[in-house]
Amino acid sequence: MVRSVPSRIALYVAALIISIYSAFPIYWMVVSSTRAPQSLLRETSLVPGPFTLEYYSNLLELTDYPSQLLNSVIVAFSVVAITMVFSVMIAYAVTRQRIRGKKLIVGAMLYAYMFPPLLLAIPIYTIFTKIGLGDTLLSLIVAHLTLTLPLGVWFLWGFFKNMPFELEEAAMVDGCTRLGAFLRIVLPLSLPGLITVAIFSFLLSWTDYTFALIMIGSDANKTVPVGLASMIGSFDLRWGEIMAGSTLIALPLFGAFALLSQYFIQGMSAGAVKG
Amino acid sequence: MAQVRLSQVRKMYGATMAVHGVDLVIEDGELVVFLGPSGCGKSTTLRMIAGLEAISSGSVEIGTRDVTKLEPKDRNIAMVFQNYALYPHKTIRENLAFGLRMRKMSAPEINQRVNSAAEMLGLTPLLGRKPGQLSGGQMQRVALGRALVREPEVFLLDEPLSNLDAKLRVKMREEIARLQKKVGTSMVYVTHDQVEAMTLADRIVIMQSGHVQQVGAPLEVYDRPANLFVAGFIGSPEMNLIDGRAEGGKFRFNDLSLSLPQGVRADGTPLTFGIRPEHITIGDGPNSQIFRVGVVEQLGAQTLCVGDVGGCQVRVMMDRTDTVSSGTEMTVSFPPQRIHIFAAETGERLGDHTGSEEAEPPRTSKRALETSEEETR
Ligand SMILES: Nc1ncnc2c1ncn2[C@@H]1O[C@H](COP(=O)(O)OP(=O)(O)O)[C@@H](O)[C@H]1O
Ligand SMILES: [Mg+2]
Repeated sequence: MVRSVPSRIALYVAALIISIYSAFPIYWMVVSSTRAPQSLLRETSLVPGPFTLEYYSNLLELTDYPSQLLNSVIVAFSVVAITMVFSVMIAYAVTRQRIRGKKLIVGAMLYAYMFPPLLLAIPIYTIFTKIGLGDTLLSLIVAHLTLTLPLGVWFLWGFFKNMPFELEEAAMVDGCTRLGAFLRIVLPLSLPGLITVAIFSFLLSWTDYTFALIMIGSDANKTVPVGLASMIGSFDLRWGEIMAGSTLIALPLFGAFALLSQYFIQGMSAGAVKG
Repeated sequence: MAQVRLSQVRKMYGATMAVHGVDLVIEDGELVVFLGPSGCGKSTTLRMIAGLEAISSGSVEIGTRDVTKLEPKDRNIAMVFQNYALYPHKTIRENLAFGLRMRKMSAPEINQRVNSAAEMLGLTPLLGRKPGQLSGGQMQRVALGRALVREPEVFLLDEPLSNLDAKLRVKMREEIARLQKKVGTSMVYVTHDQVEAMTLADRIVIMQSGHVQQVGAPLEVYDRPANLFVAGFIGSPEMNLIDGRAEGGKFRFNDLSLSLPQGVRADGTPLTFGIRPEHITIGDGPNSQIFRVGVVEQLGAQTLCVGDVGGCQVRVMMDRTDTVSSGTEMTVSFPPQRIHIFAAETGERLGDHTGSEEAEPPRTSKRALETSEEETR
């Protein structure tokens, strides 16, 4: 499409404003987390500095942050792994097998989204304490799966549905088993979908506050978002440490998006919209 | 290379039967075409040979092996799908090599086979591309190449040309015929296009609603259609079919009275009388009648007139005639040896006359027919 010069300028200006609007808080977070304490609250300058790593070392040496980070990593990676395996299997089964009422199955999985997380979290918490799993990382993982699994199944369902079955048949004629055809043809072709599901479930689990707040009571089992929040007000308000902690939470997300954004965009446009 | 033998092969989808007990032997090196209207069970039958569809009852043998219960990968067949089914994430070279790699063939041999197949199909310059960068005709060639490199016992093709435009279709058809003759492997080819069937086949299997209606060489089914369905399905334009009854050795309908071919004895029974538009002759002769022209279609080499004979609508195909127009009357005749008679109730053919001017139904003169079939399109 060819645009006239004024409309192109308008487009760039709009894009610039949107980018600044969404990127500024991130910039401010990173800058504040490295600004020396004496200037942090007094000199609100856009330029970074004076530079310090004090908050980071405080956070990692004097607080529970490292063990909370480890908790977060365990929970998020378990959620991603379990979501991937099960949503691939369920989505493939409902697309390729003739199952009675499969529309209903997929639909029912999405019902979980009709309720706010809090509404689900409280009964889940009650059940877990009854069976002796209260205040464990496992309970948090299961709670996160109630959100990530339906999303993954629904998303991959759209992906597999759009993939002609003839491709697998061709592979089977060419010498693959059913499983081989799936692993060699379907999975590589679904890579954008798989990556999108992985990022989404990581994001959901990594940044979750509601479930973690309800399911976890002890300091030892807290994940970073809850741990960080409990710093506010528990002694004095340590803005520098909070900014440093937030930066550390956001860092892996930046990394993942930077590496995988092209698949992510492909996945978003191929699976969900057309599916 | 091998014979393929289907014995009482059936397919049930729930309670409905999609394929009713097919018995068929495909000889080594033979090209058999499954022909029939959409939904008649051609693909299902082919897919049962491939192993992609479970066989409800009956058996399939390839060579001396009973493959009824084998997986597709163990049947040593290669298949070409209607929408090509090329692996989109692999290059053309990888697409061709995939089946060989799955069979643990050595790299030099894979290379050698892929290169020679690519050479044969003119794909060499495309080997590095992905399927998304090819035209329909090129993808079709790759699909053929993928079957070819495998050197299977049987080729199975399911409407391989239906996604191509008319011109390319004719070209690819010739290419498939050439390749099949060259490699000499048995082939089963599914199509709903009778021209494809007539031009390619050693034998045609005509199917309708899951039943095999007739099996025969192209000219055999053209000359001696076994029943009304085949008579109406084979030939373009369609055969003229008139419902009437036999009386005193004659076929009667309204004012029409035509002599029955030798050997057809049926008095008082309802009959269907058939003659192909191209077999009605202009001028006096046996069974001559007055033909009043209604609509004239100029096809170039020939002229097709739709009109009326004794109260029945009849199509007559004649050599190009510029002078006919709506309302023209002419004398036409129905040569007895060209007449087909069917029992109206069962649809079965009556009598054993050949239906052609040749003494014996010829099996080899396929080429002659191909040209006339082309012209009538
Ligand atoms: N998976 C299926 N479930 C139910 N019926 C089917 C299925 N596949 C095919 N059929 C039916 O079987 C019949 C034959 O289909 P098919 O072999 O595809 O016909 P075609 O001759 O057009 O290739 C059709 O009537 C079709 O509706
Ligand atoms: Mg079909």
